[in-house]
Amino acid sequence: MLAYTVRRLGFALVTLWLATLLVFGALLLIPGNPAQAILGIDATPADLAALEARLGLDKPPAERYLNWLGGVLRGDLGQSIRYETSISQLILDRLGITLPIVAASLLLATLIAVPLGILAARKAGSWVDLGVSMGSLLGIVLPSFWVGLMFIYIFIVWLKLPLPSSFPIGGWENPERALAALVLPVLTVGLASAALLVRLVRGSVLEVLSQDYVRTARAKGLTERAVVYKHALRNASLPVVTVLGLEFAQLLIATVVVETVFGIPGLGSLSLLAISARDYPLVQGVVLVIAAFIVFMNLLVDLLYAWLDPRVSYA
Amino acid sequence: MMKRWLFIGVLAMVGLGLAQQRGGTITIAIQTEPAAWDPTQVAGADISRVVYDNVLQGLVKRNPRGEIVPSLATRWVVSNSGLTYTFTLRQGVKFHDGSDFTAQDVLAKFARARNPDTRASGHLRPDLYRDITSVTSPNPTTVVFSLRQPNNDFLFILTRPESLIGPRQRPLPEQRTQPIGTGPFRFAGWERGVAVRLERNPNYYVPGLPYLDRVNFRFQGDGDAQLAGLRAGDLDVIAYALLPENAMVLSRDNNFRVISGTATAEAVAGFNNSRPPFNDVRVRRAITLATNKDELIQGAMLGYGTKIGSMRSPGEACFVDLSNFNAHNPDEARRLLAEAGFTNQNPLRFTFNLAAEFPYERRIGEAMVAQLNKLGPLQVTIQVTDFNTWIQRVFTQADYAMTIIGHVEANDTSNYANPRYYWRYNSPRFQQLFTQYLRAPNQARACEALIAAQRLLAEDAAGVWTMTLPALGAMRARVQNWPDGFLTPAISVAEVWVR
Repeated sequence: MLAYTVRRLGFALVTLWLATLLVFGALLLIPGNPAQAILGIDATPADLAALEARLGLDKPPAERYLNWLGGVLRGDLGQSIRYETSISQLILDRLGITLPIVAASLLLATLIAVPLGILAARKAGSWVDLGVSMGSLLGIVLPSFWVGLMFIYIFIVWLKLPLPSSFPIGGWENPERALAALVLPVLTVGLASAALLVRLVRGSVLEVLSQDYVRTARAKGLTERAVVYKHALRNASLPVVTVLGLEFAQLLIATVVVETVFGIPGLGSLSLLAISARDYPLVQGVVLVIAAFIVFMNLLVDLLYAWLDPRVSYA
Repeated sequence: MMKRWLFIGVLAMVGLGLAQQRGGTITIAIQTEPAAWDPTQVAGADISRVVYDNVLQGLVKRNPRGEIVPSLATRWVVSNSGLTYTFTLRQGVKFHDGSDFTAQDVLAKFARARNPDTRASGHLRPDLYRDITSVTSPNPTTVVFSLRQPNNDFLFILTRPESLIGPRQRPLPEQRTQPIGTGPFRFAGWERGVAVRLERNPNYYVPGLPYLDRVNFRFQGDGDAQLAGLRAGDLDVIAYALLPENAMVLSRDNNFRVISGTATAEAVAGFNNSRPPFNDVRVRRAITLATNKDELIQGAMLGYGTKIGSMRSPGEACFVDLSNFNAHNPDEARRLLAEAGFTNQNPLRFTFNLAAEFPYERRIGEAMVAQLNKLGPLQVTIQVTDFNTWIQRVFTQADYAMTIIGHVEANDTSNYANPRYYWRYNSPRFQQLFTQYLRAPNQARACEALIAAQRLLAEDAAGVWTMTLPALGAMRARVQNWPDGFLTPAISVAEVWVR
């Protein structure tokens, strides 16, 4: 187990390094550069050249990349070109908003999807099953920016609930208001994730329920409750855990649409801004962090497998 | 007698009701988040929108109606030759850091501005200040500019965002992220990705101003999220670029007030004048004639927008109305195209570049391409890219055929005098007219030349000036005394108050 973990961590580091190299190369290929992004159309070519020199963009790409990599190895993600501030601090600030949203959304999604999915599987083909399927389909097809806007109109404008429509200026300085600002985004993201998850739970529970050992358990005379919750659920949870793990890493940036609607300065909007501003070090910093999360979640999922399913061994 | 007292009483009550109230906070939505906040170092309309005359001030300023009025200089005298400008400085003015504003700050600023080595000075556009031969201060309250030749734009240049003045010892990087000036508000903080915060300057030199304690400028570019924020009460003002359809919805609601007026942002559908097919004036004129501007204003902008026919907006000095010059005429367009060799069987094919980030220009451009494609001998393809790609390909390298973008700055007819500008319009006649304007001995002669220049552009069909984009915004009814003009791209809030 330990050897496995160490080997996986080694692979993870190589993966991370390759990711930064790939992103750096891709950034060189897309047109535009940060100096142009900063100056827009109101500057002369001379202004542009001066700014490029100030930003160090006149240095060859390889040198810029190595400088950046050297910084990372020393634990320094560098300065954002666009914001002229520490990238580590920017990312930490954004994670402080995005992580709670993602964690709460996935919790909400699990709390909704697991019971509903089991119910739908146990009553497969019934009206309940059909209702769950329809609801889930609706949750998948409705775009989250629309759902988010509707939530603002329904809960804030019509029902006049004391919720902010956007993350407060000043952020966590005002914890109550900041927390309140996350309610609707979590609802929006959570319901969308639940819609996906419920189909998965239903499918895997159904599959497990058709297995021989379930038939055996039933033949032994166990109650349906014991069959589902003691025997079937644990096995059915394997694919669900995988998806939850991947969903977690993905949502770190995939919440960008909801962030736009709710004016939330999260990691998604930061990565979008970094790309459109051609803020190379910032893009690389964000990619590095996201990649690290993905690798870490994968590892965690694999280890959870072993715990959930004793047949899996990493010797 | 009783009646008269009653009348006076009512008047007093009305007066009290309308009296400006001090205090309060408002949050204003702006479209984009600039990269820095010092317009002498970094260009961008949204920088000046926030800091111009709120945080940073210059010797003179343009008010919302576009007039040049005193700011840090209380008065000025121009010599008969037009070569000497003498400014009297306002006394007792302090920067937000507590230091005194003096003539030395003015001298240091213009020494930096004039330095042709922009890498050393970190100052944009030294070309603007090329006509200055010296800036001196014969006494602590006077600054004298000497010019090598008359320049009718000189006072205007001093009102530009590049001419704003900060403390002479302020390090440039700090001024970029935390600008210090003399304005009614001091810069209190920049939350990256969220907002900037301004706070009342307690030492402001105009007694009683500003009214507000705090002003937040929030970066919220998405039109629907803006509307939701306004309705939910988290935003007080959508300062500009309100979507026309949202303006219609809000104008029917008493809780909100929609502001709409003429700005100086010409939506220019620009040609690359230097290469085929648009180096042929017949083709450019045909495209102009094939464009139905009234339909664009009604269809794409729901009636918000002002038809123009050259590179200048109504309300600006020396404007001449050419909006019906080369008016919509599809038959004449087809005839000109046929003359140039393009027919339904052998259509002119080209690409029309759009930048995704600009909602007004994008919808105008898409509607315009639909009009062109209806003509017959034109086959136009739309290519949408992000703004950064647009800047590199279209603006910097001029690797394009046609595009559209809003030119926000006032008095920017001059862009056509620069043959290296992305339109690549190289007309010696235009350049000569523009020089005549700059060097004219008096205002009347200057206007004469500028009007001739506008006419020449229209005759040359050097671009399709579709419309002046509207200054379109909305605010909650509690916001009072919002600026009543939009001829300067600034959101000046010193005199705004809330109920």
